Amino acid sequence: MALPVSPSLTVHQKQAARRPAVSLTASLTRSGVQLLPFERLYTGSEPDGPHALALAADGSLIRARNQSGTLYLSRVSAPSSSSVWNTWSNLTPCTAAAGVALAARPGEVLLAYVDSAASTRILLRTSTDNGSSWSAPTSIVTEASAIGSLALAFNPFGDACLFYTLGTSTTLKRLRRTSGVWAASGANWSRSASVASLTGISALHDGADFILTITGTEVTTGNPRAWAAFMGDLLFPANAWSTLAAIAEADAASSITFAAPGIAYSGSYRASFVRKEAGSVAENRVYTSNTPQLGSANGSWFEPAPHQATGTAGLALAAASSAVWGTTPAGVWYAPLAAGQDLSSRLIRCSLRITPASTRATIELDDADGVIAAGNYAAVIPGATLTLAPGYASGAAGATENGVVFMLIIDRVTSAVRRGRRLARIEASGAWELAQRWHAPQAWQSANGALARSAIFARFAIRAGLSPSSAGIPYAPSADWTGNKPPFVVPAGESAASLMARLLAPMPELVRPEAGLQVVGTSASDAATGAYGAAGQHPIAELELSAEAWQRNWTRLAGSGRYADTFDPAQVYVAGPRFGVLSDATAVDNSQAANWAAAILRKQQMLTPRGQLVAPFDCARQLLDVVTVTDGDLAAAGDYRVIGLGMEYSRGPRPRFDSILVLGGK
Amino acid sequence: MALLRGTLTAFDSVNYKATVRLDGSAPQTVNNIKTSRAIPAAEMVTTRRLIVDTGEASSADEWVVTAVY
Repeated sequence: MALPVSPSLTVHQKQAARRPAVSLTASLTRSGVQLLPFERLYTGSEPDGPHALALAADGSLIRARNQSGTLYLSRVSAPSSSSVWNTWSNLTPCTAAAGVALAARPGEVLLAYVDSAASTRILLRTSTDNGSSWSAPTSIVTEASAIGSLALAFNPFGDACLFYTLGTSTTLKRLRRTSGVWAASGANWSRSASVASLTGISALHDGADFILTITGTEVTTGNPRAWAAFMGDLLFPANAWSTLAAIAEADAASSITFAAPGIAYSGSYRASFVRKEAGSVAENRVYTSNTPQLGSANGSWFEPAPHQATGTAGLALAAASSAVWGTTPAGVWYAPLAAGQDLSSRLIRCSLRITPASTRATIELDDADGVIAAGNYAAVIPGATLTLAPGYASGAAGATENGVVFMLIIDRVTSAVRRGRRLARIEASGAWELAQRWHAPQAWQSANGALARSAIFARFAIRAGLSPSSAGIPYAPSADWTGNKPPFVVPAGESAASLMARLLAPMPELVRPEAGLQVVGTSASDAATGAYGAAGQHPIAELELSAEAWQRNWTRLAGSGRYADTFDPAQVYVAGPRFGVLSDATAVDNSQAANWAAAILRKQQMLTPRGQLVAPFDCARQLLDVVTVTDGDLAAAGDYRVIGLGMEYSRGPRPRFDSILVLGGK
Repeated sequence: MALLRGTLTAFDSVNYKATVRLDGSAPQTVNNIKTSRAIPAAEMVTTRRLIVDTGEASSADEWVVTAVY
């Protein structure tokens, strides 16, 4: 179906007199997830060791670190860039190298550590004044073997859960506190059989369940992993464990391991972990990652990226409403959650062009007050996201209504003065360009029959920080796209755009990069979802129709032990044979080879321009829609596929607000 | 990506398939890569360098180790 727009908008945008209302906002986000521009506030000389971080209810930042068997605490009230971070108090002895954990909620902070007198015993202290003072220790559990890592979290009702490992074994236990009473003993998780070792844990409660990041090695293979998982509490069945979702992977023969994970939630799940490279060049570097907006912790994660923090102890994370904090024993980082900027009133001109393989926008803003030139808009910087929502004041009382929304990424911001007028010009691109800039930092492989093309596509779209989706009826992807499961290898350094193009090459699918990457199924029988030119339809301002030869009119799909040719006779007879071949060994039967050859040829037919239509901006129009065009002057009456979608907006002496549609074959 | 270089980490001399750590991919190897029968099995010694011809093929089944040195 067409993009749904309100009836009032549909009527208004066809009228001779229209009231454009274009919304443009800038945000420091990527696919809806807030970016974290960490700034280092403190560089100290505290030695590496297990440590923990919590944000108390009064905003105090509480840090605990285990320095060779001495537990030090730091409390910084009203933390800021001018705070003093190197004031520590010696709280108590503890077992050297054993874990430390903190958790905070209104009226209570819990501190867990391992008894210096017994490496098998976990002690707990409580603070009721936001970490200013602490109770005497109480023993809450004693195990038969030494304690390894610790993690603590509260649920919204004040119940708590302590998670701990036994050395680096596969045992990960939970110890719950319910209505103020700790359980008598810990209970092992149900995923011991999935791992060969555990090197670190971290936990939070997301309001529904306990979420953990876990580092260790995989069972059987011994492959190092950083994982995310959840244990049920309020949403999922209590104490039930999810499967482990890989955030980072290495193989056992490599010189890479993972340790010291951290976790926080700020608009999405945020993970940190240490990537230890024991080979050359040796390095212990913190990496961070996050889930997509609305993503599950045990789903897909963005590609982990290196962080400034180094060392073996990892980066503890804590999220406030306005910032995310990260700490190591010798470092403090602060990432403010910058507010976005509404640039709508500054918009002078916008030119946008989108194809299935590209997005380009040039936007001109009024900067008479110099705010943009002075850098005072934190979100108007390269890498930030622009949300462009073209619409009209067509709603009740002139309320703005819109349809298609475009997500753009700022590439360049230029400040200029033109004829005495201060301006800012933004050049932006879109999802495909982001996919072109993301390159695989390591090889990846999927065996034959393991993952569908759609799943591989989605995996790498998310790794690249994009939002993948599939179009709905009538443009839902084909059964081959969702069912064909090829053997697929991604070498290190290949771009996401390249590997996605390989997945798409023999398929009838194309991609709509308006606000993420939406895979659109195409068929010659697709019904039109829009109409231009005839009475009552969207009016046409300009129309050009053209004819040109296809780039390829004879295609061959070379499959496994077979090949299939298809061609367009009319094109071949006049333009001559324009041959192209695609090798794909996953075409294992004749009909598959023939269908894929036909799909490749049909893309040629679709993507060869047949004309251009200019119309008052149509909020319901999306790239790859099929539209009916009727024009008596050019004797045009037929269906075309929109293979280029553009917008031209300008205000001032020559106002303009038009859709520019490049028409291709259906 | 027609030709890639890497280091041999394992070799299955029965099925003549190699596990390769491609250059730039320190954390992960690629396995089950077919190996040219012109290369004697005895030459497929781990840690040796090799060249993989991907043939611009999407399918990993079409990759071939063509040289070891």
